[in-house]
Amino acid sequence: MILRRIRLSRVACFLEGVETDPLDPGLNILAANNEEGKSTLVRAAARALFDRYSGKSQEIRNLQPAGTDLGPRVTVEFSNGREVFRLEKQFLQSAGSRLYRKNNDKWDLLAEGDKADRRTLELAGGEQPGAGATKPQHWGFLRYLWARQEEPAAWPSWDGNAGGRVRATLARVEVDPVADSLEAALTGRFHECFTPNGQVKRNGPLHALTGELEALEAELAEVAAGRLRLEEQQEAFGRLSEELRVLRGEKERTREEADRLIEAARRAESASREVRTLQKALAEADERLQAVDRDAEKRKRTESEQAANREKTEAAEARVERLQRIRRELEERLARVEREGRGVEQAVRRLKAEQAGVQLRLRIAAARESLAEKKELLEKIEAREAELQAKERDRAGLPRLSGKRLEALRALAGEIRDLKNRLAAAGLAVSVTAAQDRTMETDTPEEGRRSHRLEGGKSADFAAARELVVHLPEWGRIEIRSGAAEVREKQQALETAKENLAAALRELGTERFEDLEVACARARELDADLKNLRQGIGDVLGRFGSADDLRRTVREEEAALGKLLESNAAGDGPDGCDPDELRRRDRENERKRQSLEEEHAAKQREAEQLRRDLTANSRECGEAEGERNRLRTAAVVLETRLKEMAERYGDGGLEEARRRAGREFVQAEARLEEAKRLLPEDWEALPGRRDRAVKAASEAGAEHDRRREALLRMEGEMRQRGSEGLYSREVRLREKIALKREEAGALRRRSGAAGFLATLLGFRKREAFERVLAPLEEQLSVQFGELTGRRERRVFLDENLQVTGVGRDRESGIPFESLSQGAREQLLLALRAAVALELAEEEPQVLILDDVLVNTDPTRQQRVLDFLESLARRVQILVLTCHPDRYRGVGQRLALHPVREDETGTPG
Amino acid sequence: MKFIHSADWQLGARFSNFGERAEALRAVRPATLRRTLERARAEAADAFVVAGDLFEDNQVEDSLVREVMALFEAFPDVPVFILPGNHDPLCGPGCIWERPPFREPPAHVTVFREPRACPVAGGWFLAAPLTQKKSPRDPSLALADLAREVAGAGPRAGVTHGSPAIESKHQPDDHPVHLEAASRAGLDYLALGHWHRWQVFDGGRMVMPGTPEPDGFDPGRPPEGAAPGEAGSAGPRGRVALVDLPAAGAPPKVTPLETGSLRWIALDADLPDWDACRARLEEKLSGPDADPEHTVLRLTLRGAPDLRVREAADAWLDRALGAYFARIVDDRTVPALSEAEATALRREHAVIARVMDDLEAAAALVGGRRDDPPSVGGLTLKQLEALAAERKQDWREFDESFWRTAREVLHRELREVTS
Ligand SMILES: [Mn+2]
Repeated sequence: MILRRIRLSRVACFLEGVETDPLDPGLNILAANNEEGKSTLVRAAARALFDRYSGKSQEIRNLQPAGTDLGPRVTVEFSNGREVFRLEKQFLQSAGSRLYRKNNDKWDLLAEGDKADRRTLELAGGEQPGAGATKPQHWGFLRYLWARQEEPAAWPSWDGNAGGRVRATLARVEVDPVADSLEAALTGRFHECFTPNGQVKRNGPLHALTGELEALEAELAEVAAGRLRLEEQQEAFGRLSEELRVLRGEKERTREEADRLIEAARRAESASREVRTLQKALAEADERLQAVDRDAEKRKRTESEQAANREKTEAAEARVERLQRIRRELEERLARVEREGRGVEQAVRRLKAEQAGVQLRLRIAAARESLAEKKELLEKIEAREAELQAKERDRAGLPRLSGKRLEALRALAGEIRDLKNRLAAAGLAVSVTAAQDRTMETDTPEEGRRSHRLEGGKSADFAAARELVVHLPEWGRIEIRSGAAEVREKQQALETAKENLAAALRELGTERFEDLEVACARARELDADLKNLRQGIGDVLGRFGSADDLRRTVREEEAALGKLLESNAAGDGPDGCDPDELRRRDRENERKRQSLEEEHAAKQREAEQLRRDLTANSRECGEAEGERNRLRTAAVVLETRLKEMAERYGDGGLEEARRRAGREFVQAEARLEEAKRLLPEDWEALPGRRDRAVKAASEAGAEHDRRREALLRMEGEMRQRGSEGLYSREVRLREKIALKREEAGALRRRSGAAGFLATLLGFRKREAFERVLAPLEEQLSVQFGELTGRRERRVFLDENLQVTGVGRDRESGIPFESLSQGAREQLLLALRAAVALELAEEEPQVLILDDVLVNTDPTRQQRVLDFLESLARRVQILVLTCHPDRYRGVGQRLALHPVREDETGTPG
Repeated sequence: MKFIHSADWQLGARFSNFGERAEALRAVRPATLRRTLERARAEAADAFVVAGDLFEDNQVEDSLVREVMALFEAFPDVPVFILPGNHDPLCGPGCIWERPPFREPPAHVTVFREPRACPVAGGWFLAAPLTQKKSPRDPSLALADLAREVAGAGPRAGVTHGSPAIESKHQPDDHPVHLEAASRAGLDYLALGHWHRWQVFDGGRMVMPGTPEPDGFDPGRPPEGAAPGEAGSAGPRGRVALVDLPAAGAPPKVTPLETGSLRWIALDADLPDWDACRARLEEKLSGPDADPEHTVLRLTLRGAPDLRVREAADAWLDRALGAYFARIVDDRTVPALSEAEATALRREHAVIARVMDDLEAAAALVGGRRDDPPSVGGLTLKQLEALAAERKQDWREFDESFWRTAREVLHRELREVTS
C-alpha cells in the first residue's frame, strides 16, 4: 500500500479542513514545526484505515478538536499498486465509512459502513482487535514501516499475523513454536537428571536411583565376599584336615618314642650308679692294701735305723770324753802364759814414763833456739821496711801515667809547636824600621802584649798568625788583620790542640808539659829503687810470706815454749840438762823398750794361740755332745714307732692284715667288671636322646592341638556362615540390582537421548535460520553500509529477526543495545528499508519516517539523503520533519492546503 | 528294584530377569518336589534318588533347607537318597549337608557323604558324591571301584553327577563322565544329573533326566524324539525318570514322568502388521492348550510401529498377558511414524522432520559401517561428532539402543507437545 493523499477536517488542531498535495510514489518531505500537526495527519490516516468508524474509544476521541464533540473526518487516498482507492470516514458524530475505487477519473463506491471497513482493512493488511481501538500491532506492515517519533529505538516484535507474514516474507521460514516447545521439553527432560555440564544432578531421580544401586551393590559385594571367604575356608579346611591327620600320626609316634627312651635312660642311669659305687669300693680296697704294704716297709726300715743309732751313740760318747780332757790341759797352759805376759807389760810401762821426761826437755831446748833465730831476722826486716816506706812516699808525689799516654801528650805538644810554626809562616809579617831607637809594643793573640826595643835604622820583623796590633809610641795604634781562610782553620786547630793539652795537664796536676817530662823521669828512677828494696826484703823473709807471718810465728813459738816449760815443771826431770846427754839417754831407753815390747808380743801371740785352740776344742766338744743327744732322742722315737705298730696290728700282726686286704681287692674288682658288663654301650647318649624325644613329642602335640583348635574354630565359623543363607541374600540382591539397574539405565538413556535430541534440534533450527537469514542479513548489511558509509560491517540477526549485533562476524559483533543512539536509529532505518524493499517485491509499500534520525549529525545527513533517494526508487517514503533544511533539494515537498468544508463532502 | 531318579532341582535358583516375579518362580519348585514325592509313594517306589544339585547353592537360606527337609519328613515311607552335586558339593563345614537338618537326617533320608555302596530292596546303590564345584576327574571312576567291592546278587544302580563327556560339548573341569560309564563299571543303570534336559546314553543304561521344573526359555537341544524347537513353541515340561531294574544284567525300564508345573514359552510379535500379529498371538495364547496360570512367557516385540499401533498393541498386551504366571516383554521395536504423520510432520514441522531424518541417518551411520560416511542426506559423521562433542560425549557410544531410545523419547515428547 502506498498513500496518495490525506485530507482531514475537525481533527485535533485541524478544525477546518486541510489537505495534502498528492503524494509522489517516491520521496515526499512534509516539513513543519512541531505542534503543527504532522504526526496527527499520519495518525488520523492510520485510525481511518484500521479502526472501525463506529469505534468510540479514547484513542478515537483523541482525534476530536480539543473541547468539542465534533465528529472527526478523515479521507485517505491510497493504492495497492494496481488500483487506487479512496476511503472517507467520519468518527463519533454522524459516523460513517465509504470506500471508493478510482475508475478513469471518477470514484466508484465499493462499500459502505462495516463492509467498507472490512474491505479497507483487507487492503491495508490490518487486523481488528478483540475490543477497543487498534494498536500498532494491528496496523499490518505499517507497524514495521512507520517509524514513529515517540517510539523507542527498538525493533518491534514479530508476533501477530502481520509479524508472521513479514517474517515469512522476509525469511521465508516459519518459526515453529512446536519445535521450540519440543526443544524446551527435551531440555527439561535432560535436566531432570543431569546438570548443564552433563553431571548427574543431585536430588534428581537418576541420582537417587544411582545411590540406591550403589548401596545395593555395596551390600552385594559384602555378601559375595562372605561367600568367597566361606568357599576359601572350605578349601582350606580340607587341606588343613589332611595336615591335622598327618600331625596326629606324628604326635603319637613321637610320644611312643619318648616313652621308650625315658625307660631306657632310667635303666641306664641306675646301672651307671651301681658301677660308680663299685668303682669306689675297689678304690678303697686298693687303698687299704697299699696302706698295709706301706706299714710293713716302715717297720723294717725303723728296725735297721735303731741298730745304726746304737753304734753311733757309743762313738759319740767316746769322743766327748776325749775332747773334755784336752780342754782342761789347754786352760792350764793359758793361765800360765797370761801371767808371764802381765809382768813384761809392767816393765814396758815404766820405761815409757822415763823416756817421755827426756823427750820433753829435748823439745824445750830446740824451741828456745828457733825463737832466737827468728827474732834476729825480724829486726833486719823492719829496718828495710822503714826505708821502703820513705821512698814510697816520694813516689806518691809524682804523676803516674803510662808511656803511651806520655807519648801521646808529647805528640800533641809537637803538633802545637808545628801549628805555631805554620801559622807564623802563613800569617802576618810586619817589618818595622825606626829612625831612632824606640820602644814599641805588639799585641797578638798568640803572644799577648809584648814590648820590643827597636834600633834606629835597623828593621825589626814581627809575625802573627792573623792579628797583629802594633802600638807605636807617639803615633798610636796600628791594627793588622789577616783575612785568609787557611790561617783561620790553623788557628782553630791550634786552639783545640792547646785546650786538649791543657786539659790533660790539669788532670795530671801540672801546668807545663816540660814539668811533666821531668816528673816522669824522676818517677822512673824511684820505681827502680822500690823494686830493688822489695826484692831485698823478700829474699830475707825466705820461707815466710811476709813480715807479719814472721811476727805471728815468733808469737806462737813463744807461747809453745811457755807450755813446754809448764809441763816440765810438773814432771820429775830437771830442766836444764845437756841436750846431747838427753839425746843419748833417750836412744838407750828406746832400745830397752823395743826389746821388752817384742817379749810381750811373743807372750801375747802364745796366749792367743792357746785361746784359739780352746775355742776350737769347746766347739768340737759341743758338736759331739749335740750328736750324742740327737742320737739318743732318735732312739726314743724309733722305739715309740715300733711300739705303736705292734699295738695297731694286734694279734694277727701285719702279715694277716696284708692277706685280708689282698682278698678284698680281688673281690671288688670282679664285682665292678660284672656291673660294667650290664651297662648299655651308648648309655651316655641316652639322657640327651630322651630329652630331645620328650621335647619333640611336646612340640608335635602342641602343634597338633593348636591346629585342631584352629580347625574347630574355623569349623564353627563356617557352620555359622553357612547357615546365613548368603546365596539367597545374594540372589535377592542381584534381582533388586537388576531391576534398579534397568530402571536407572533406562532413565539415563532416556535423559541422555533427550539431551542429545535437544542439541540436535537446536542445531537444525539454527541451521535453518542461518540459511534463510543470510540474504536478509546481506541486504540489511548493504543498507546499513550505505547509510553509514562503513561497508565492511555486517549486521547479524537471530532467528527472531532481532538484531544481535554489528561487526565482522557473528560472535564478535557489537550487541544492538551497546550501539550509540544514532547508530541504533540508522540500523533501524536500514532494517525498515530492508523490510520495505523485501515487501515491495510483491506490493508497493510506504515507509513513514516521522522525525527520525534527529540524532544523526549533519555530515552524515548527506549519506542519509543518498540512501533515501536510492530507496525511493522502489519504495514510497514520507518524511515528516521539523528540520526542512536537512532535506532541501530532495524529493517532493508536500504542503497542507486548507479546504472548505463543503469540498470535503460528507460520507453517508 | 524300582525308584524315582531325579536331578537338578536347583532349589533356591535365581530368576533375576523376572524381577518381582523371581520369588514366585522359586516358590514353584518345592511344590513340584512335593508332587513328585507323592508320585513316588503312588508308584510304591523303593527309593527317591536325587542325583545331585538338589539345591542351587550351598548357601541358600536355612528356611528353604528346612522346608525341603520337612517335605521329606512328610513322606517317611519314601526312602530318599541324596547325592551332593556340583552346585551343592560336600565341601566341608558350612555346606548344606554339614548343617542341620541334613547333618543328622531322619532314618529314611540318606546323604551320600562318601563313595559307597548301599543296599536297597535287593539291589544296590553305588554313589559317588561331588566334593567340589569343579573337577577334571570322572566321578564315575569311583563307581567302578565300588562295584568290584560289592559282593552279592541284585541289580546295581550307580548315582553320580557330571557332564557327559561329549566331544566339544563339555568343559574339561566340569566333572566329565564317560559316555559308557555304566557299562564300564558293570552297572545296570547309572543315575546321572547335571544337564537340564532329558538325555540317554550308554544304550539306555545311563540317563540324565534333566530338571524336574524348567528354568529357561531356551531348553537347548530338545529331548530325544522331539522335533527341533522353534521360536514360539513351548519348551518341554520338567521330568524325572521312573526306573525299574528287574534283575542284575537285565536292561533297565526307564519311564519319563512329567513333573514340571510351568511351561516356558517364547513368542515373537512383529508390531507394524498389528492386525495379523494380534490374530496370530490370540491363536497361540488362547488355544485349547493355553494355560496362562502355568506359563512363563517371553514376548519379543519387533518392528517399527507408529505411535498409534504401539498404543493399540500395548493396550491389548496389557489385557492379554495379565493372566500369565510370569512374563518378560522384550521390546526391540523401533518407534516410527505413520505415512500420514510423516507427511504432516514434513509439512508443518520441517525442522522436526529433519531431526527425525537425522536420527535414522545417524542410527544407520553408527549401526552400519561406521568408517564410511553415509550418502544419506541426514546428519553427517562430522556433524554427529561435533554434536556429541558439544555434549561432551563420544558419538561411538551411541549404540543401537541409544538411537532406539532417542526415537522413543522424540516421539513421546513430540506427542506431548502437540497434544
Ligand atoms: Mn549340576
